[in-house]
Amino acid sequence: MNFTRRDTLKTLGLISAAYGLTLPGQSRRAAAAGQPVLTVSTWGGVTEEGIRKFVQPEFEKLTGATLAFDIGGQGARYNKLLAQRANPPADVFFSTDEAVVSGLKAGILTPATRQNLGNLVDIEDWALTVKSGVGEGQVAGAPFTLISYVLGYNPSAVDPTPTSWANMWDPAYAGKLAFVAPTHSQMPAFVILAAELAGGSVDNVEPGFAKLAELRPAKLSVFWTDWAPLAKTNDVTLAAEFDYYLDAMKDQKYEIDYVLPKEGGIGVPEYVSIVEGTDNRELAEAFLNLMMDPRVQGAFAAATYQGPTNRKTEIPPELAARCACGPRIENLRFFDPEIFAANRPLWTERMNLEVVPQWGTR
Amino acid sequence: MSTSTSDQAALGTADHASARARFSVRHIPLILLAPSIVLLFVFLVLPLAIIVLTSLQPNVLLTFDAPGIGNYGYMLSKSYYLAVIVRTVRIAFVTTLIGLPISFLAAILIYRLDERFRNIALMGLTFPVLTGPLAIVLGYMALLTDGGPLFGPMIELGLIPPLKLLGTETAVIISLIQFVLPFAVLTLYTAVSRIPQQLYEAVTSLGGARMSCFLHVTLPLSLPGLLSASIICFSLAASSYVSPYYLGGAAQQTLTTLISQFILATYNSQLAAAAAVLLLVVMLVTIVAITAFFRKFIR
Repeated sequence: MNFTRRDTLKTLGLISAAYGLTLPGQSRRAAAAGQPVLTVSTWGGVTEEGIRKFVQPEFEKLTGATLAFDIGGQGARYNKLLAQRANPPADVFFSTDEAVVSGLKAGILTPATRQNLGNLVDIEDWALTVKSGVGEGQVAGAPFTLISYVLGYNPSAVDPTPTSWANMWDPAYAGKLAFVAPTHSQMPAFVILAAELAGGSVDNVEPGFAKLAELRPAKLSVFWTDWAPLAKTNDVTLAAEFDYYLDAMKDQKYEIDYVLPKEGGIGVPEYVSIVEGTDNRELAEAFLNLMMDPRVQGAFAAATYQGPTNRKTEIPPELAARCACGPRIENLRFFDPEIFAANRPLWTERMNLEVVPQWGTR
Repeated sequence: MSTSTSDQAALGTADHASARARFSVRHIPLILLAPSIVLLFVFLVLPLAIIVLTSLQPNVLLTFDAPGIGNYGYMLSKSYYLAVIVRTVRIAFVTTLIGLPISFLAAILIYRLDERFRNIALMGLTFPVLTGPLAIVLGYMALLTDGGPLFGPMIELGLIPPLKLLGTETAVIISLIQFVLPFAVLTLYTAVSRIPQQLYEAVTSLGGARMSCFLHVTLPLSLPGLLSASIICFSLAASSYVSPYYLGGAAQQTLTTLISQFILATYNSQLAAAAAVLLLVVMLVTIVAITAFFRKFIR
């Protein structure tokens, strides 16, 4: 069979078109224009919107490159990186610190070079929770924001105001509590907290499982929308939830308020890190640096109630009162993400086998 | 009678040509099927084989010599996972058991409607399919709460006790019945509409009443449709994810929510693959059982 020049051109054209069709519209146009593209794997909603609004224009101005997005839940996006590690579908990855630990161990994420991240020197020490898997002159990723896990309650249905994680076990809240599902990112924190309330510790979590089995949740949640309809109808009056979701609920006129329990709220720094095997390492580091920029973090805080990690970030007092920042940080507890990553498979299994069946029988 | 060499050669050529033609005709279905077979192999058989092979590997929770059935042994030895399998089958079975007669009745009633109303009814029936299960299930989340618009006023007036439906199998089944209904009704509507009118006239002319028409014509001739509809109902219910996730929750896990948990939360693709294979086996066994049951009555 003879292949003419025209056939060859046609074939190449078809291959290019097919490749182009696999890219999102924006990156397709950018690729067609020869503009470099950095693919950002992130959550949809406020994080994606924040990046588009506060980061993308500056990034494009600085680098001449543009951004494409791979949107989804953290677990689904993490699995994509695992499945396509030979040809990663993204250049930078947004996740909790625990996923950074797991990703570095699994070889799907790679540390950044400290000297390429000028804003890193202004990042608070408490935000740099990922210590392992990095060499000299490296950092695991960019902790770009801080959120905290707190106790939400309906002020007109709850009296007195809850003050402690132990309140979740009060008979008054039996069947009225929204609690973390075994798959929730903060489940390991509650295993440890419950263990401590029952006389155990982070090194002895055994009493924690028995203590958790005594709970009587009305709803197990992964995302605030899982229990929000129940809050509207007073079927849930107490909920363990992220502060910035509760603030978003307040803005949506839910009857909700929250407290940092006396044992401390759970501090959760969120990271953006570099995907192993990326062809755009330089762009990726420029993006990481921008995510740690005080102006970007200030804008993110104003739009999403996520606290800044850059100590130079200036935010107005009324906003500071609604963010995980300032004096509130002293009432937060930062768990070691290594412990979460190392124990999650076994603890999830124990939650399923030993704890959740007890909740079902109550 | 003898033939010349050239005649024989001509006959031979003709035979070959007709054999070729026969060969081509015989193979046309195979040639036409080839793209589908290739697609099925690449997108169904191959991924399935990969899932089975993955399920035979050790993982972060279990160590055994690979390939091995350690994951299956583990899951089948734990009462929690057995309960998940049983719950999956129970939810799908009850959904089918309740959904099928409702769908059958709806199909018959729609068929009897005036043609204009029939089309409107069929369009109305397919509307929930177009909206997708997520929007509907989120609606159920608001509707089925004790303080919601359905039960809230009745509970407040003391007419019924608090039901606590959310997080129960009942809530999952209610939403699944609604989810499978359009698929079952459309299948049964096709079956009912194919029954020749003369058969009803024959029953009526012999003095049969409406019930006789139903028992001696509609029901027996709809059995193949009922078989298809029950397989569709069971498969959709057993493989559904959104309803068990949102209305059942972590306390009412089914095989689908368990698979997602293994994949998305603990990144344990090996146990996820084993759970997926178990789901497939459960569905195959049940479909064979349903088919065997209906075959007894189909003449």
